[in-house]
Amino acid sequence: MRKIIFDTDPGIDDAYAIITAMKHPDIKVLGICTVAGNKGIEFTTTNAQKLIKLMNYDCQVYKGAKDSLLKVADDAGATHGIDGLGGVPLVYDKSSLSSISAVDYILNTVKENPNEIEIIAIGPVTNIALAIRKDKETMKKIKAIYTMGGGVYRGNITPVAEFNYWYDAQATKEMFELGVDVPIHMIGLDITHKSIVTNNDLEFMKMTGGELGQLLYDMILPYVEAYWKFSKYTGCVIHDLLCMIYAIDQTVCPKEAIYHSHLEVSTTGITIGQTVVDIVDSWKQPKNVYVPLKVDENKYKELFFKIVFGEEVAEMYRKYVLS
Amino acid sequence: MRKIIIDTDPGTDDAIAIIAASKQNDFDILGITTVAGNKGIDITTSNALKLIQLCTLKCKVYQGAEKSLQDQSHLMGDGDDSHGSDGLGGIVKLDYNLKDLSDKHAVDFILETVKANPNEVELLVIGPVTNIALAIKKDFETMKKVKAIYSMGGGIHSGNMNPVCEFNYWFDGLSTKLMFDLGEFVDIHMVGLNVTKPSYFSANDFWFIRLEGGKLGRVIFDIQSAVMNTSGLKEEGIIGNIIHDLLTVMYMMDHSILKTIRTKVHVSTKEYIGQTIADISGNSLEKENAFVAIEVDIKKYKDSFIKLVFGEDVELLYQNHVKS
Repeated sequence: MRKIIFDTDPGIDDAYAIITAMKHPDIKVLGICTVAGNKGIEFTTTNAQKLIKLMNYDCQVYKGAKDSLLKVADDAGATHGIDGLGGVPLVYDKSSLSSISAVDYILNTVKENPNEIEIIAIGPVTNIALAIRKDKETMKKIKAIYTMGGGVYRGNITPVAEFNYWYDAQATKEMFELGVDVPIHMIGLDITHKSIVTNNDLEFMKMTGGELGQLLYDMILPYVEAYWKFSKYTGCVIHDLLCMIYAIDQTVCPKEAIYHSHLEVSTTGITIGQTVVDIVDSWKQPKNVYVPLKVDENKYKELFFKIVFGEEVAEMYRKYVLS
Repeated sequence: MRKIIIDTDPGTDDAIAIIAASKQNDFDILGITTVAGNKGIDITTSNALKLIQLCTLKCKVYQGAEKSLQDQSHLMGDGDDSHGSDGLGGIVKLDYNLKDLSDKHAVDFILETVKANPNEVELLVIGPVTNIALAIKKDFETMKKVKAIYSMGGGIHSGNMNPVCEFNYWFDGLSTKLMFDLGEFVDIHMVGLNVTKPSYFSANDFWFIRLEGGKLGRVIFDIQSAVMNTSGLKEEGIIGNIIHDLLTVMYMMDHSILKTIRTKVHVSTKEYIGQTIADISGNSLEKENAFVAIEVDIKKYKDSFIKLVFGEDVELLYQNHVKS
């Protein structure tokens, strides 16, 4: 069993990623750490609790940073609906919130399971940076970090910066300093925007996915409207889900297009949050990131349907939607 | 202005066809006649009344045949209920006003209107053709003065009730045969499953209509998404819906959307009732009775629908951004 900790700001796309991990037979989600980002910390924390209740999963939520290190950013507004989960009615148990902080939980868990813990960091990476500041030697014993953020050739919140990294650029810079010792995989906008889940896909999920399919469909409607409005996509980009699927099966990205490179993060001025990636290794600096730049979008979506809804639905997806 | 009577059994696809017809500037819709088919006559009639209100049409509804001349509706299983509980998908709530319902029978309305406008009236027939057959039986000479009939039904080697029969014609095979007998005197255009099936609207299309189509777009989305289901997926292999009747009315507006061949259509009334049998090789020596659609320009069809109902700016967005 792979031992995973989520560091997340749910968030519609976070919810898709977390549910997928919870559905995977070989993955044990040990805990969910929350951070401010898509919404404020109170929202993201109760949203994480709602997902645990929805999936009837045995783990707890560990509340993390309520502000980014530089405290410059605001949340993502209405993109994720007023409550961060598209307004779908979900309940939660108070008991699913631990009294341990996110940073302590990460450090304790890594200490107890050296070189075994994988972190799925799909929000701003404030908690990761705080844990590194507190105990870098322990953090070096993380097995791997899969982070959704950044981009090589594009941004979203600015022309050169992606939301998660822009939200806490300083933390991002500090996280990647760990990348010399711990493999960090960056799932950036270059490939998330090549992996559009179309409205055909979503209607298929609603038809074949039972109650959970209907819920995930209802949850994502604010995304569908936002992506049409701002990007003219007939569908949406579920960034964090791609990060999760890649963590599950790296072959969704062709091996020759995964670049082991040196990455720097801008922390000031108009470039704040930008990831500068030396794909061609011209600087000859230490390599601190793995960046996939190509993705097999059909394989990605098929894997999602297989993990969450089963082989039969995946088979129908192959037969009727992909072909 | 073209003078048009719509003979219909609304019906989720009839509804979209009527919306489109109501938007066409040179269509003067003289009346809507109803027939049993997709649903019983009470429901199809009240649905026609709802569409009159929705589309602010000034004409009336004329109720027609409640029973087909060759009834095999008892063979329709529950699985054939593909139009939702109320025939319009069951989600949208639309009002109607009984003052829009005439007390004149559909057959009489058709005959009187043709008499008053000889060689001018075009019939858009998008349900079972029982009313047309009854009018022919009652007054064949008058029916010869219909200008043209556009009929959704049949198909060339294509079916939906079984491998070779389409619903409207299957529902009343005998009436279908009687209608095509008129085809020696009146231009009959048959728009069958062989062209409607490939011309489906995908979920991506419907979402576009919802996102850019304002109130009417939302109504169309709600009507159509209600009947988008796994049977379409498994039987046709599509995520979306075929809007058979819409293709018929769009072709009526612009003949370049379909390629047709003039030939003889035979209708089976014994086995595989309602099957249309036609030689489309171009070598038929029989006396022709119909223009049979054999090819469709899908892009032109969908683009022109979007343009007609939502305007040129929306059509441009559709062309530039939507992959079906």
